[in-house]
Amino acid sequence: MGRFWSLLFLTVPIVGVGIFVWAMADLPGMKGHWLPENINPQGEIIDSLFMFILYLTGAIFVATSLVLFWFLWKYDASRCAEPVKYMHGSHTLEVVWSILPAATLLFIAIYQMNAWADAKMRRPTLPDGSLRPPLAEVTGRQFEWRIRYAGKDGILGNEDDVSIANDLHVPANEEVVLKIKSQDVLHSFFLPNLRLKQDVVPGMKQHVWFKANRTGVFDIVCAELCGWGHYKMRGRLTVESRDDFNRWLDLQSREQNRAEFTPTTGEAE
Amino acid sequence: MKYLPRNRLLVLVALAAAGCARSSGTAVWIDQEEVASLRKSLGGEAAGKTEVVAAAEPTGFATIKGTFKLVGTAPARVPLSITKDMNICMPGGTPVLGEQLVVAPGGGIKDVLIFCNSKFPAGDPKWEHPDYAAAKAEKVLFDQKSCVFLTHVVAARTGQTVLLKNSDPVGHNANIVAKGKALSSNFNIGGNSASDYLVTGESAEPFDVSCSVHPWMAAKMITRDNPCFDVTKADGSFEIKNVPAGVPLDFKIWQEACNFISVATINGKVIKLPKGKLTFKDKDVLKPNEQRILEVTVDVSVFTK
Amino acid sequence: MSVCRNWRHCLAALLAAAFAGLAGCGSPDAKFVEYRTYARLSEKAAGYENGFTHLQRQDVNNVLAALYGTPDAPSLPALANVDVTKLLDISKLKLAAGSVGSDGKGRPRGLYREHCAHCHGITGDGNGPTASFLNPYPRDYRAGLFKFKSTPIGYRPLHEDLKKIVIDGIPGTAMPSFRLLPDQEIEALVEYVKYLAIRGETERQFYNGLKDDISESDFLSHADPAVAAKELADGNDGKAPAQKAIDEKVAETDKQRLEAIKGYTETVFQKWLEAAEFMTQDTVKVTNRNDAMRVLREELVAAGSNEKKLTDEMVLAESQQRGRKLFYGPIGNCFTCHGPTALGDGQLGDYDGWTVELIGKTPKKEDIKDYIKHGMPEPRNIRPRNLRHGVYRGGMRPLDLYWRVRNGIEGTPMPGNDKLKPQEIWHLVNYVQSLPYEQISNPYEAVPENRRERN
Repeated sequence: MGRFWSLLFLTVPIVGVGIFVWAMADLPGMKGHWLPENINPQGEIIDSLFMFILYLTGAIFVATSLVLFWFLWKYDASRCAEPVKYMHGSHTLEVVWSILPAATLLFIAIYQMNAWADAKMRRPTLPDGSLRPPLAEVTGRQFEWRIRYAGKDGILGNEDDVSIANDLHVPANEEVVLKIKSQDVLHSFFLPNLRLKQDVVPGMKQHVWFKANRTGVFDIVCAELCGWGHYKMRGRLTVESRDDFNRWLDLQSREQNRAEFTPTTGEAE
Repeated sequence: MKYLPRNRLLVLVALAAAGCARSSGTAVWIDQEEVASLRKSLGGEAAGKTEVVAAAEPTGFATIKGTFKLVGTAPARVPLSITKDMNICMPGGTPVLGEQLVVAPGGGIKDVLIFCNSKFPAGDPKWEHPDYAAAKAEKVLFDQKSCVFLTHVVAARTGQTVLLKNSDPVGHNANIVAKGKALSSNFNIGGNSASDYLVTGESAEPFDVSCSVHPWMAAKMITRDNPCFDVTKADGSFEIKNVPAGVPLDFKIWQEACNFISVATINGKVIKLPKGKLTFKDKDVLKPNEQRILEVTVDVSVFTK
Repeated sequence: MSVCRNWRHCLAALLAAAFAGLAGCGSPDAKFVEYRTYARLSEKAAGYENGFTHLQRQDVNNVLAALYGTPDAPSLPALANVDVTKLLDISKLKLAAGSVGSDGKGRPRGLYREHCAHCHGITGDGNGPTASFLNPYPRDYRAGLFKFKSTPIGYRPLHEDLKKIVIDGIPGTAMPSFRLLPDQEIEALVEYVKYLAIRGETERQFYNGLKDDISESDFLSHADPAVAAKELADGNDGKAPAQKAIDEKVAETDKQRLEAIKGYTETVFQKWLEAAEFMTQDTVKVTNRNDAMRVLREELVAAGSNEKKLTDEMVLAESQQRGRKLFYGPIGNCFTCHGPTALGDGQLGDYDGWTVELIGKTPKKEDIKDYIKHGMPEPRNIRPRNLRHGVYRGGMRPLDLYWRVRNGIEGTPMPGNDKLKPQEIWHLVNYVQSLPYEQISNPYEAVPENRRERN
């Protein structure tokens, strides 16, 4: 086989890096394969963390691949007549390759602490310092997201709640808190454009929060294999101005409280 | 074949094949040629309304009457399991017995349904005696008392109203699970009140009427287009007046315990009744003003098989 | 096996063979399945110990295929007395039929198989691959009975009723919401559901025909010249009839047979058209909760309440009180099934109509076994709704609850209330709607919140 294997291994870092660069540049053939548009200020921190870790691991990946290539090239059995040398390990080397990654991991752990706390612990508060109440409750179940809005009074669990499946509307440029829970199995509530993902555990009530700074229509997906219909668990996130949101919620509320019937003059097909 | 023995190869091939074999279950098999020809004839036919064409016209009216009697010992009636509203449904604690097959001491069978299965042209006075037209406006009473449907087998005509009555102080409902062109219905009937059920079409066989609140309550209902039917009284007697005479007619005989009665002795002669069907034709056709007497005996084995 | 000179070649050949085999069988044409449970029921009622003959069943299948086509190519029958197009739209059906894909112009195809078939089955028999894992089971469309609709028991649902279920799903069951599908796709799905229901009902009609009338037991098959000849001979003292007479007789029998088929099919379509007509009639009362509350307010004022101090909340509270009385009274009688505390524990031993039809109210073991063999799902008891959850399967709009109370629920022990005035029904609805928010129900506070606050 000659140097076939070493050359083959050389292509791995080249093709790997190439694919990433191609996707990041959004060139034809890989359009829309990089991160989706971010509409959450907090998401920028997540993205920068992601990129930092990507560059770090990418550099190590390229370096390791090149070293691997170099060894294969240099010590190819058909060309290298040098006898095999046996050695009994290197203490220094082992210390170095233990401490370096450990230090790196420790650095990342400390570096990201603030981002984690913002995403999972520091729930937005109201001006008076109390916790911001959830705008809606999202219940994952096989296979849909049932969404229950707190309604006009802003309190979940009373008569003016508005229930609707799969259709999440939120006001833009406002802190939004959602209460999420599961009715049956483990799901994961994932808003790709907000860089927000939270496993939904049956029996637990959890909160997620975000601030969307752009209006538009985005995806809600389930990021945890939850059964055969997992792929169907797709919802729609509509970010709109506060006025539009109020109008929409009012409309839904009126439809939900429909309490009159008049016979029509024919079946509307 | 040194490294891969033939049998292992066969197993692999079998696995590959099994991966795609699908069980067809009871998937239908269709004769394409027949389907094509059927489709052609179904679409090609620009048929008008289907008229019921009777071969002959009735020459008058006759009466059919008689009794149904049981030969042999009737099976014991089973006590119903009453679980609710005991003071009303089981007054005095006496067990309430099922009414599938109720036989009088003289052998008369209660609740045998006999109905004419032939189609009558709608509204033709030669077929339908004027008395029936008048009776159509009357409501058929279907009462319940002490959690028992007082009419165990109720028969009504299309266009007639059945008065679903409740003579108990507790609420009932009549869950009618209709068959044929009759409409299902299930409405609450409050204590000591009543509800109406309009018969909108006929059914080829009796169907269930029950009460959702008291699951042991059961009755049967049949709805017919033509007016010639009766249900035997407690002594097994029945009478159908004003049956069109001079035309061949089909009757059907039904009893809850055995569904359609398959064999009976009528006026001393053993007659097989395919799916309960009794035919009057040729010599047997009813004559005007005739009183046809049917003394029917049915062996107990018909009910217990 | 000379190819297998060494193991590598052998393996390659095997893989190739395996792929070829897989590609060869691909997916076979989807087929409708027979309505075995109903056929079995008819067989038993007709007293056929060995069941309908192969030929009889084949006839039913052929006629159904002629009338309604196949899952890949649905068609609609041309009926003289019924306007089929008023009920079903073939172009929409085609969008929903067939295998999943698109027609090359970006329009989807096979929507039914994409979204519905895995639970409801290709035939709409409620027996798809995932059906047996679900509780409650998916609906079997073929009886034409649907629970959640605006029409009373005995009537078919309206197009809008089915559409609402597709859009909103059925909370508390495995039926999800398809709200995000484009309207025309939802329309197509609803049309296809109606199509499958109508097809299934027609199949039932045919089995009824086979059951009811022995003289027409072969009503679906082509007339047999030999039988015709024999019948003619019998009617003519045994003299052999002329060929022309036989041909005429055969043609006549065939004509009758086609008429019978059309008759059965028309009956089914008529039932669906009837429902749409019924809901436009004045027998369906115009109803409005606001009007009912206004009338109640007037009543209260007439009874001496201070008109100025009487708030809407007070009127509502009075309405709920009246609803409560009806709930526990002998007319509404709701508590007997929904339980004295409305927890849905009043009556637990019932079965639903689809099950009772086959095995009766107090089923025998051997019947259950027999029908399971023929495709009935393992029977389960039907439970009255727990009204304290605030989860309403047929929709949570007050109007939906109004229909449930007024019309009952098809195929269940839930009766309607046609003797209650609309106003009284609104009282009941108001009361039922208040139940989940009573202190005792407290669905929200009952579950301890599992979280740590770190602010």
